[in-house]
Parts: sequence; C-alpha cells; structure tokens
Amino acid sequence: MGKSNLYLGEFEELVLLAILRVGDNAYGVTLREAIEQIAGRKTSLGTIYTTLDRLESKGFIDSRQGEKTEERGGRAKTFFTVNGCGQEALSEAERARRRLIPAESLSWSSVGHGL
Amino acid sequence: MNRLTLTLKTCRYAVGIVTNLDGTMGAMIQELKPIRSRLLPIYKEAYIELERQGVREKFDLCEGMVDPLNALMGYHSIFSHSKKVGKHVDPELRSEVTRKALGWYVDSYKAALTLDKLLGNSWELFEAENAQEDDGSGVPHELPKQLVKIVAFFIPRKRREALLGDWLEEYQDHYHQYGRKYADTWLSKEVFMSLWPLVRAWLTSLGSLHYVHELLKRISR
Repeated sequence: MGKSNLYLGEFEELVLLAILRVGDNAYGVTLREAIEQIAGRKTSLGTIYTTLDRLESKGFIDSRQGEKTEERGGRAKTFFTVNGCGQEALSEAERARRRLIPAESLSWSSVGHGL
Repeated sequence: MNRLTLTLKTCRYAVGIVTNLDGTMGAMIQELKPIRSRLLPIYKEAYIELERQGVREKFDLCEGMVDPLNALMGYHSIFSHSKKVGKHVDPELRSEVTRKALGWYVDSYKAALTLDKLLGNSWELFEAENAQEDDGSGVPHELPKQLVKIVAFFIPRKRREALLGDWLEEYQDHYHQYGRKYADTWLSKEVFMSLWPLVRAWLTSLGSLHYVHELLKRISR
C-alpha cells in the first residue's frame, strides 16, 4: 500500500483509536461514548457511520454483523475492528506528528515534565 | 404495570405535590398522560362499582378518583405558574392542596386494595387489550417514523440496519430514563446533526458514480 493511501483525517484517527479502545464490542453506540471520553467531543451517529464507511473503503477496518435482537427492533449491530493496514496508518500518523514537532519544543516539554 | 402500581403511581403524584417536587411530578404526568383516556373508564367503573356496593363512603373516595390525573394536573399547573411569576403560592391554598393531596394518597391506597378485589376481570381485559402496544415498560419498539423519514433516504443501504438499530437503542434508553419528550428532542437533534454528513457522503457517492460513468463512456469510445 502506497503512503498516500495511509493518509488519515483527524476524526478518522479518533474513530480508529476509539475502535482499539473499545475492543470486541465496537459498534456505533459504544464508539460514540469512547469518542466523548477520549476527545470530549460530542458527535452524531451519522458522522461516525460516514467516517466508518470511509475507513472501510480505505481498507483500515473490517466489519462484521452481530445477531438481530428484539430490543433493536430486529436489527443487527455491526461491529468494527482495526486491521493491520489501519494500525500501520495510525503508526504513520503518529510518526508524521513527531516529525512535525520542532526539536526545541520537544526538549522544552521534556524539561517541563522533568520538573 | 398492574392495577395496584398504577394507583400507587397516582398516589405518588400526590406526594409530589406535598413535597413540591415540581420537576419529578411533571415528568410523571407526562408519562401517564398518553394512557389517560384508557384509564378513565376504569376509574369510573371503580367509582360506580364501589357506590353500587355501598362501600364508596366507607373508603371516602374523593372526586379526584374519577379522574385523578386531571385533578393533579390542575394543581401542578398552579405550582408551575406561581413558580414562573416568582410568587409563592398562597399559604392557605397550599395547605388546602396539601390536605387534599394527602387525602388522595390515603384514599387511593385504600381504593387500590379494594379495586384489586372488585375489578379483577376488567383489569385483565384492559391489560389484554393493551398488551400488543405496551409491554409494560411503556418503551416504544420503533423510532418515530416522521423523524426517521427525513434522514433514511441518505443512509447507505449497508449501514441502514446498524444505524437505525443504534438510534433505537439509545432512544429507548432516553425514553426509559427521562420520558418521551426528552427522547423525542434527543432524536430530533441527533437526526439533524447526522443529516449533513450523510447528505455529503451521498453526494460524494453520486460524484463517484458520475466519474465511473464518464470512465465507461471513454472506454467504450
């Protein structure tokens, strides 16, 4: 996969991290809760699902259908997992961020933390 | 919800007035309002039956028993209004309301026990009639159709089931915890917040289709 394909938007990154954080039970509702916890950002399920669609078409996540339940009006949940490409994309985004941070600010922040 | 708990719910309205828990009372009134028309015949039947058996006086049922919800809503609005205009309820009126409310509480409790004996059959009939539309918790099994219609067209087919299911799950939670009004408001907000991302994704997919169409046209040339 070329590097350009590993490009991740800010919200896409957040959704990937939320999937990793939630684990096996990652579906719309739990992902929304995780995003609120991670980033303190309120978001709609419509936004989350369009992002999940994009991530799936980029090949970063896989989805599987759960069982239909009566509480959900006979509708199944769709669970999401981050695959190898998704993890690689996250690492690449992290590396790019590190490269962008000026060395001086890194040293100053480490001095600050040391104090 | 059985008859006894229903009557006790009515009693709790009375307690709500006594303790002046306006918010709680308002929420409870909202909860019982939708089934009020179905409750009335039962209360009336109870009233008539108790009278026929000559025991109504014994239980000292107040007028409110005919339509307790209506009476309580009246008192609730007095409190709400007084709160809005920033004036205290006249102490005399307040003690009158308190006395009546306490009276209802005691009377309704006695009545509930009597009703259990007198109206067993009609209550079972009532429960059977409403069993299909109400599972006892009062929580709906479907999302309000008008709201979903607005957005359903733009939800991709492969995500429709999951998204509507997630919405229903959360809608039911809100309904259960805070009542119908809150759940409806939450869903409206959710639908409108979701509208733009879904429309944008839909437009993008249309754009891609156009691109594929153009590509096919070029290849066929």
